[in-house]
Amino acid sequence: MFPFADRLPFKPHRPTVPEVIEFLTKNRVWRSFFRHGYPDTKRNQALLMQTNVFLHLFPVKVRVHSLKATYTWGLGLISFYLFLILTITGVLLMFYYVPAEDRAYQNMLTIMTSVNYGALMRNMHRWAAHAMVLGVFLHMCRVFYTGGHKEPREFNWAIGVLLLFATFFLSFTGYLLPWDQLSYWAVTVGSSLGQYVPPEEIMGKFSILILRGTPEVSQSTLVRFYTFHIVALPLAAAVLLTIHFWRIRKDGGLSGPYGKREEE
Amino acid sequence: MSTEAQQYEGPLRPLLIAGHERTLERVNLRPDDQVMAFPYMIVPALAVALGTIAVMTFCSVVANAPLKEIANPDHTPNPSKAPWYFMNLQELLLHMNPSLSGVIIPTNLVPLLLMAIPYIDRKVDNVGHWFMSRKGQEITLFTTIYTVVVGIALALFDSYFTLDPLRDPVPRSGGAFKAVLTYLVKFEGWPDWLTSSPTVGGFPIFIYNDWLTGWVLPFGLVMTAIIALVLIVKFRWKGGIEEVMLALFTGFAVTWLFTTTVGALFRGPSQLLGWPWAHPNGYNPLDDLL
Repeated sequence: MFPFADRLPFKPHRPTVPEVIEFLTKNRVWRSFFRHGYPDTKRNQALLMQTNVFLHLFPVKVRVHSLKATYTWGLGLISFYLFLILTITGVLLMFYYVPAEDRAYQNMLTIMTSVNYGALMRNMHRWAAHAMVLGVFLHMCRVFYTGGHKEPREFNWAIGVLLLFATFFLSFTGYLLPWDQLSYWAVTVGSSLGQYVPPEEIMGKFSILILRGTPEVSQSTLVRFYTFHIVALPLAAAVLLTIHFWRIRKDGGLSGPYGKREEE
Repeated sequence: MSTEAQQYEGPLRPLLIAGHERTLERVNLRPDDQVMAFPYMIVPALAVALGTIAVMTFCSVVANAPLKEIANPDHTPNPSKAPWYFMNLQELLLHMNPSLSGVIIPTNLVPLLLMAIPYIDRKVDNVGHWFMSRKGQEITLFTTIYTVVVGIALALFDSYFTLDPLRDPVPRSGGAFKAVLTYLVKFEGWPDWLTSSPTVGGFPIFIYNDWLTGWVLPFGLVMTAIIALVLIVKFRWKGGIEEVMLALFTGFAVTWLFTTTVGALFRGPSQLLGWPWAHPNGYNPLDDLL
């Protein structure tokens, strides 16, 4: 097992798994990362949730009912994961994409044909975006039909409505970026609604200019949509998401049949 | 309630106490039906993450995202369609004044009314039960069918109804009221102010010339359908505010899906109605969909 063992100045020892774990975790470096032991006791499981800034948004204990797959269908969670997938693939796509009228489409061709995993990243970004719009809409329906929007969760429902619209605008601003016929005309149709902001004589042209930067969809529009798509809207969505998750905990966990009906 | 709030004697005290007590009552936790979030919530959540990644990877491997020819401002495709989740809006635009259907309804009315729902419906007896109750299930099913039937009727009416088959081509891209009233004013001697803003001393009363055909009549028609739905729920099911809100939200969600489907699949060149597989010029609506 150990060649030349007899020549070593110490007796070789094959460490056992618990010994390895102890070596890795019982030291000052590990202890500075994690201030609790392995989560196999209730105390450590609670500490795991409390000492992690992300998990801390969620409660330490949850109701059994809210874990039922047929109650939530995991729709909110799936929407959030799609948001994460979109963030990661989006950052990777940004390495190869320049929001310029004369280069954007070429960049798209490069991503689809020459960049390693470029097509996979772009496909994933596109399909996840469509899936997220659908997921958020279905999540809203789920929440409504189980009464999750009602007191004391009214405020979180309002945040959710804002997140639905943030999702729409995230998807819509991203739609222009490939700069192909589909995106150009879809955004022309979509942003042309700005001309109808009442009173039209005053606000119409102004709204179009705010949306597009120029009377037609152009380079200015591309930069505007790009900036909204990669900075402003994701940031807004991330802040709203944080509040959304935090309020679940503050409003007493997910909704469930804990009201008068059960006690009667 | 915190001592600070208890000591507060200002004019808002009743409001403060009422809101706070009700919240505490609803948030009131009972320890017996709870489990630790780790691992009972975190592990399934991670499994869902893996599943989501797997499904998205699979879709991305089997299907390429569409990329058409480079944008050409000089070549307008017919039809030009918005992204699929805005096709409900595009559909609505065909039937009403664009200020109403393109700006006021989607950016003001819909978000505000959605946010207002839990402040209007404050009954919490049925929280946690799908569709509230047996009655709620019936109302949801009925509203779904009702909304689709009314939606089909309205879309067909706006596209096909005409008094002037010789001059008015059908199907047209919406606007039965406009077509009919324009005909009546032009050829049957009906008063002018039906299709243009009435004037007092030479000054128009309304900003919009289509005040009747683009605002009052189409919006009134939709409102009639909504009020009829509320009355049906009230009298057929003896519904309270809970049931009415359930019906209204269902109506909204089904309308969203219905108008999206019509706009995405059943609108062909020039936004004319047609079967998805039989649009003129060999137009395939699936090409513009995703």
